[in-house]
Amino acid sequence: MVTNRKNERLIYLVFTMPATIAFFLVVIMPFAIGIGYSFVDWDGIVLNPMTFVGLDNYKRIFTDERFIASALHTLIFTLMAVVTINVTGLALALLVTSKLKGSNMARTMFFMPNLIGGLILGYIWKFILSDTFRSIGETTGWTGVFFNWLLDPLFALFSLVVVITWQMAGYVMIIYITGLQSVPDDLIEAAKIDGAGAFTRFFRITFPLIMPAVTVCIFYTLSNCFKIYDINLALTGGGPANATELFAMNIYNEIFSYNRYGYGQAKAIIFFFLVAIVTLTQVALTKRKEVQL
Amino acid sequence: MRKFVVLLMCLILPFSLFAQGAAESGAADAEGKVIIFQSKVEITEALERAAEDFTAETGIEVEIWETTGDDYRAQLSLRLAGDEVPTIFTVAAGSEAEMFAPYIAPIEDSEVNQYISSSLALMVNGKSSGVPYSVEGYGLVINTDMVSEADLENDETFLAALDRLASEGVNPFGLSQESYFLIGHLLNAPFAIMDDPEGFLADFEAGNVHLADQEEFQAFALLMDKIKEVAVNPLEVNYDRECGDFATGKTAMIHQGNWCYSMFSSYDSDVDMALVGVPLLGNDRLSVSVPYYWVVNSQVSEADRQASIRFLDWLHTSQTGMDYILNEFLFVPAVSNIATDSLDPLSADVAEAAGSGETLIWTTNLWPMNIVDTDFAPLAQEFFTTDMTGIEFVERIEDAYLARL
Amino acid sequence: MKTGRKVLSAAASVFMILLGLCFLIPLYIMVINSFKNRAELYMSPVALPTVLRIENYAEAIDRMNFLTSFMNSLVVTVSSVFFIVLFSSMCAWMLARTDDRKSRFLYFAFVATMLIPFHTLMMPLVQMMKWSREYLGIPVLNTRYGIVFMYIGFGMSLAVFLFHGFVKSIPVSLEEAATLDGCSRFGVFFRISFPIMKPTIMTVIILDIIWIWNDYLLPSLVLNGKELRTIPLSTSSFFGVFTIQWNEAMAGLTLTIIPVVIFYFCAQKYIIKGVVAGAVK
Repeated sequence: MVTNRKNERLIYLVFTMPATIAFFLVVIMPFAIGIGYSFVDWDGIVLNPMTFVGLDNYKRIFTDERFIASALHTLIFTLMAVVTINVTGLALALLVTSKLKGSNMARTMFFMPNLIGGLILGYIWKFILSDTFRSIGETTGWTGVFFNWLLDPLFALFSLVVVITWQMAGYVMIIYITGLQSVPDDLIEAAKIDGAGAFTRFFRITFPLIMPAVTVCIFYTLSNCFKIYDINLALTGGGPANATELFAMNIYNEIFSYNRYGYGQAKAIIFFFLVAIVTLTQVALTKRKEVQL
Repeated sequence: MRKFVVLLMCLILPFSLFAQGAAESGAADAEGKVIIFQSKVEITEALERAAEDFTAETGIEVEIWETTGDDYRAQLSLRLAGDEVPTIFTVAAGSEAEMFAPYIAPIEDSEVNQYISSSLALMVNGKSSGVPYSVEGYGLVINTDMVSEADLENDETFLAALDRLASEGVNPFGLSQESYFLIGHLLNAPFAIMDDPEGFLADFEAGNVHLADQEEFQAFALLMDKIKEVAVNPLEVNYDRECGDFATGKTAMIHQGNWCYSMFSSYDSDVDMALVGVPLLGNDRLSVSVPYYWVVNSQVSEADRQASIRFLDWLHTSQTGMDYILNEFLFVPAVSNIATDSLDPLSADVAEAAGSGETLIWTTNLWPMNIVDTDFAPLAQEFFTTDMTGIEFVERIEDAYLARL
Repeated sequence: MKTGRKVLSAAASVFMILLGLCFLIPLYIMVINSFKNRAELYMSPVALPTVLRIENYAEAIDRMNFLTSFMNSLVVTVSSVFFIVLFSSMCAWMLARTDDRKSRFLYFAFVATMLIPFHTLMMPLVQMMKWSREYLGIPVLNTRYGIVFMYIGFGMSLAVFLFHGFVKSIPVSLEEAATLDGCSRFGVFFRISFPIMKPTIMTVIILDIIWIWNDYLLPSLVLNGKELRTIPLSTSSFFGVFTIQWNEAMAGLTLTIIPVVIFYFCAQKYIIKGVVAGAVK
C-alpha cells in the first residue's frame, strides 16, 4: 500500500515536473528577479550603480499621470477589443461550421491574417487607415468616416481595436470551432424537432455548451489585449500625443527609453497584479457558467 | 506510412538540437575574436563582407550581430549584460556615451587614433575612446529651381517664400512623422545657432533662462506656426513619402540630411538640389557631426580587445577597409586619412561645410537621452493636431525638458 | 421552397467568401508590393505592379540567408512545439485529474503568469543565461536547445490552460474502464486520453507554430550567431532606424509565411473532425 502511494506520487511528478521545471526556470525565476529590481533605482546598465530605494518606485506610480492615462486607454481598448474579437470570432466560427459551400476555403481565409506577425500587420494597416482612408475621403467626400484615423486620439484607439480584431478573430475562431464540434448534433436535432428557432437553439443549447471555449477565448483575448505591444508600436507608436500609449508600451518606454529600469519593473508588477485580478475574476465567473454534459 | 514519417521527424529534429550544441563550443583562441554590434542595418551586408576580407587577411574571427535599427539601444543594454558580449559596438556622443561609459575602452593605442581630429574625438574619462563612424549633416534640402538664395536671406524672406510656394501649389516645407524627422533635427537649430550652445544649455538646465524669451526660439516658433499654416501636415507623411514628394517636385524643400540622397536613386529624379542651413535669424550653417562612434568594449579579454582595435585600424587605414567605408558604406569619412572625392551632391555639401568648420553642433546629443522619442515627438504630434501656437509649443518643450533633469 | 433555400445558402456562401477576401487585404498588399521597386511603392501601394520584379525575392533570399534561416526556424519550431504539446498535455491532464491543493495552485500559477509582459523578463533572462554558463557550466546563449527550452517554458501557460479546460470536459468513465482493465496511468494517458485530446492538440500546435515561427524578441536574445538565426531575425536587416526596405521586406515576409500557410492547409482537416464526439459515443 505504501509503495503504491509512493508510486502514485512518483507518477504525479513524472507527469507534472517537465512542464513545471521549464516553466519555473524560464518564467517564474526571471519574474522573481524582476520583482527584486522593482525596489532599486537603476538605468539598466549592469556596470552602472544600483541604489536600493524601497517602495519609492511603487509610490511614484500613483502620481504618474502618463501612466494613469495609459492605464485608462488600455482599459478602454481592452474592453472594446475583447468584445469585438469574440463576437466576430464566434460569428465566423458559426458561419464556417454551418455546412455552407466554400466554408473550408473561408475558414482558411479568416485565419490567414494571423500568419503575419503583429509588427508587419501594424505597418500595413497604418497605411490603410491613414493614406488610403484619406484618399477615399477626398474622392468620395465622405470625410465623416474616411479621414486619417491615426491623427485623432479616439479614432487611433479604434484603429487598434479594428486591427487586433482583424488579427485575432481568426485565432479565436479556431478555438470556437473546436468548441462547436463538441456540441452533439442529436441535441440540436432534438431541439429542432421540438420547434426551437435558430436563435433559441443557439442561446439555449449551443452557447451554454461552448462555455468552456468562451472561457478560454475571453481569457486569451483579455490577456493578449492587455499585453499588446507590437501592433501598438507599428500602427500608432503611441500617438497622437501619447493618446494610444498602452500599458506594455509605457513600460517598455520606461525601461528602455527613459532608462528607469527599476521604476519600469515596478509598473510591470503593478500591471501584472491588476491584470491578474481582472482576468482571473473573469475565468472564475465564466467557469461557473459552464455545464457538464 | 505518413504517421511513420511524422514520428521520425519528431524524433530526429529534437536530437539535431544537441548535435549542434556540441559543435558550437569552439573556444576563442589566443588570437582573440571580434564581435560587432551596430545599428545601421543599411551597411550590415557590406560590413559582413569586409569582415570576411579581414578574417582572410589576419585569421581573426569576426562575428556580426544584427538587430533592427530602432531597438538597438535596448538590445545593446541587454547584450552587454549577457553571456557573450559584443567587443565592438556603437554609441552616440553625449548622454548615450556617458551612460555606457563603464563599457568603453580607450583607443589611444590604436593606429587610427592619430587621424581623428580633436573636434570629432569622443572623450570618455579624458581619453580618446571612439572612432567616428562618418560625418553626417542636416538642414534644408532645397529644390534649387524653386528656392532661391534670396529666399534664404532672413526669417521674413523665408516665411514669405513659404507663402509664395504654397500659393504655387507645391508643398513648401516637408517634414515627416518619424520623431527625429518631425522635430528632433529641426529643434536643434534654435539651440545650435546660439553663440555658445553648451553654455546656453547649462544656463537653461539650471533654470536661469527660458526658451520662449530667446529670439532664436521666437523665430523658431514663427517658423513652426508657418509650417502648420501652409505646409502639408507632416504627420500624414512618412520618410519614404517625404523623399518621394521631393524627388518628384511636389515639395520644394525638406528638412533632411545627406543620408536621404540614397532615397532619390530609384526615382530617376532630375531635381537640382542643395543642402543649406535653416535660415533662422539668417543662419546659413548646416548641423554637422558624427552620428555614432565605434567603441571597443572594455569588459572583454585583452586578446579580444586587441583584435577589435586591429579590426578598426584595418577598416580605417588599410586600402581594402577604406574602400569599404567610401564605396560600400557610402560614408562621408570622419577620419582625416581617407580622401573624399566621389561624393553625392548632398554629401559633398556636408563635406565642404565640415572642411570649412562653419557648422552647427548637434545639441540633440546633449539633451536628456531619448527625449526626442519620449517627449518631443508626442508634443509635436499635439502641436500639429491641435490649435497650439508655436510659442506655446516652445514653452511645452521647456517643461518637458526640465522635467527630465 | 427548396430552390429558395438553395438561393439563400448560395448567397450566404458568396457573402462568406467575400468576407474572407476582405480578411486577405493585408496579405494582398504584402504580396503585390513585394514585386515593386521603391518608386512604384511610393506612387501607389495598392496598385498592381507594372512588372513582376522577381529580383526582390532573389535579393531577399540572399540577404536573409534563407535556406539556413528556414532550417533553423523549422528545427526550433518543430522541436519546441513537440515538447510543449507532450509536456503540457501530460501536466494538464494530471492537474485536472488530481483535485488537490497543490494541483490547483500549480494550475493557477501557470495561468496567472500568462499575463507577464515579456519585456520585463528580458534582462533577467539574459543574466540567467550568463549565470548558467558561469556557475553551472551549461551554455544557453547561442544554442538551439537553449531557445527550445525557453519556448517550452513560455509555451506552458497557454497550453496547460487549453488542455486543462479540455480534459475537464472528457468524462472520466473511459479512463476508469481502462484502469479496471489493468492499464497503468501511462497507458491510460497515452492510449485513451491523449488521442481524445486531438482537437486541442491541433489548436495548441497551430497557435504555437505561428507564435514561434514569427517570434522576434526571444531569438534576438538567445541566438546571435549567423548560422543559428531564425527567419524573423534574418529579416531584421530590412528594418532600419527610419527606413524600411518595404519591397524586399515584403518579399522576405511572403516567403516566411508560405510554409505556415501550407502547414495550415494540411492540418485543417484534423481540426474539422469532431474527434471528441466520436470517442465518447
